[in-house]
Amino acid sequence: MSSEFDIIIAFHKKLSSQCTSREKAEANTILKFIENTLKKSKKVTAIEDREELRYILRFWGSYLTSQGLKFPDIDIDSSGRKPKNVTIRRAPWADSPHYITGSVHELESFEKRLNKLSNRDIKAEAFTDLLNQFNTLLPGAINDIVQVQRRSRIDVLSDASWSIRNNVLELKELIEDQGTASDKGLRELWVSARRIFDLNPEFYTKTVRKNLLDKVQHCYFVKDVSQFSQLYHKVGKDKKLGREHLDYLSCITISGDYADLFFLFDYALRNPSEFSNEGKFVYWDLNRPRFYPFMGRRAEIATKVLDSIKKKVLKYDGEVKLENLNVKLEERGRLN
Amino acid sequence: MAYEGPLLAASVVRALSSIPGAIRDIKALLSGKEINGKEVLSKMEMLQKALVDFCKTEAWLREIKEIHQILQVIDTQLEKARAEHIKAVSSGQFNQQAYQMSVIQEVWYWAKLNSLTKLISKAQSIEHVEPEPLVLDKDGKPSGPAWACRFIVLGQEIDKALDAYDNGVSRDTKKISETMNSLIQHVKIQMYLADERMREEAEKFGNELYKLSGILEQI
Repeated sequence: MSSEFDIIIAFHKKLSSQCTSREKAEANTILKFIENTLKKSKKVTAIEDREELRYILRFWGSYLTSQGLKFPDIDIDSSGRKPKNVTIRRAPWADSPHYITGSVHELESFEKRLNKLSNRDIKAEAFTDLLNQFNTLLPGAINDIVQVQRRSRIDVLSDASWSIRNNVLELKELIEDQGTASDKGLRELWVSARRIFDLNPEFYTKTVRKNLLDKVQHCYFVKDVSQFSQLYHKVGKDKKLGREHLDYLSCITISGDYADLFFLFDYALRNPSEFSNEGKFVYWDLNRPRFYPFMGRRAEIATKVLDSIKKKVLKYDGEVKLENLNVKLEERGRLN
Repeated sequence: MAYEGPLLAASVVRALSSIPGAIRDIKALLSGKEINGKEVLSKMEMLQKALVDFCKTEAWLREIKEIHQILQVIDTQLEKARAEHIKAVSSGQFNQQAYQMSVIQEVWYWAKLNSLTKLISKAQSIEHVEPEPLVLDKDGKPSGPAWACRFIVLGQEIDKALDAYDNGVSRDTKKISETMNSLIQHVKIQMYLADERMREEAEKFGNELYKLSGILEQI
């Protein structure tokens, strides 16, 4: 619900745009606007908003004089127009229902705990637990900020990513961690990423090509097929690989309203079909200093989600609509 | 709350319109066969009075210019207080810690001592711009021009808020900032209006002089 102040500002902007577009704002409309603003000024209690009102009223007062009219009464500080107590403008999320502030605050306390732990060596299980909590809290908090601040989801995510301490993983570490079929027993790899890393020449040579030669199945869950298409053509033209290696590549695109949230983090699942028996690990976002073994529920959930998506698209002829998501298996014929 | 006194006082307009007649009469009397000295003298006195009245325009302009000048000084002096408010709200929310009370106290001390007192004293002796001057009764309650009364009230409010802060009764800096903002707004509006008055007066004065010069040429 808009506050009185928001309504005044919206009308002021509308009137101003009329002035800038060489269309004269009607004096009567301005006078009415000033009159209404004075009437409502008592309800505008925040000190920051009241000062903004003064600027606006001064602006319109001098505008009217420039049109040869008398300077109007614009005093919001006389008795009857002044609130009993002035307040301070509240934080954007402060006016929202409790559950919204809840998730943001929980996230803040989580961050404090994480900062305390960051300088100590911690066990993989403990870290996984923390990340599980983070995983539960973050999407809720992001959604809340999106709604309350009326910003796009990607904008909020971008801000959030910049606020996280950035320690980008070196390529060599990534290659070492993802490993290959020969040294780590890899048979199937699922990659869920906004931007797949496999196109990087060094990564491609040292990992992707080796894995394809070892017949490792690659399934990419991506937002946009274009990057996968590039990879597909790169493999197709690779003289060290044959056309048969293209069969080890598949791609599922996930788009729709909630796709940005789906790709909040990049990760890969190693041998997902064996997850329940062996408890394999997932690798975390590229922003982390190193890949933490990802055990327990977080990996299980990721596997289940991607598995159910994959099964559904295969079952329903390559294209399904999930809740707020459009999922599609990209056919190879189309890529050729 | 604008200036309520008339633009180009009626006496000045009357004076301006009577000048050509007086000159015409004197000319006729002096060019007659028998010159009546008394009659010429009386017409000359009329012309003198008209010119004296006409010169009151200068007094009007001088007075409003003087008020404008004082307002401008107050505005400049309060600029630091405005900067404090802007600094305090720079994060989008008024930060009470960022609003430096030592700066505000210093700003107010000098603005009040140097300029506000001067403005009030000027308003008390006003002759031309307003129909009546500012009057303060024995309790300090003001009457007279609304804009001048407002300066008194706002000044008292700031004094009260700063006293409460100094005595530890209230550490509410947002209230002080709000009152300071009200005063700054009032200064800015009055300065703008004084400026407008001067412009209008100069325009009207120019028109009258133009008319007069046309008539004088034809005599």
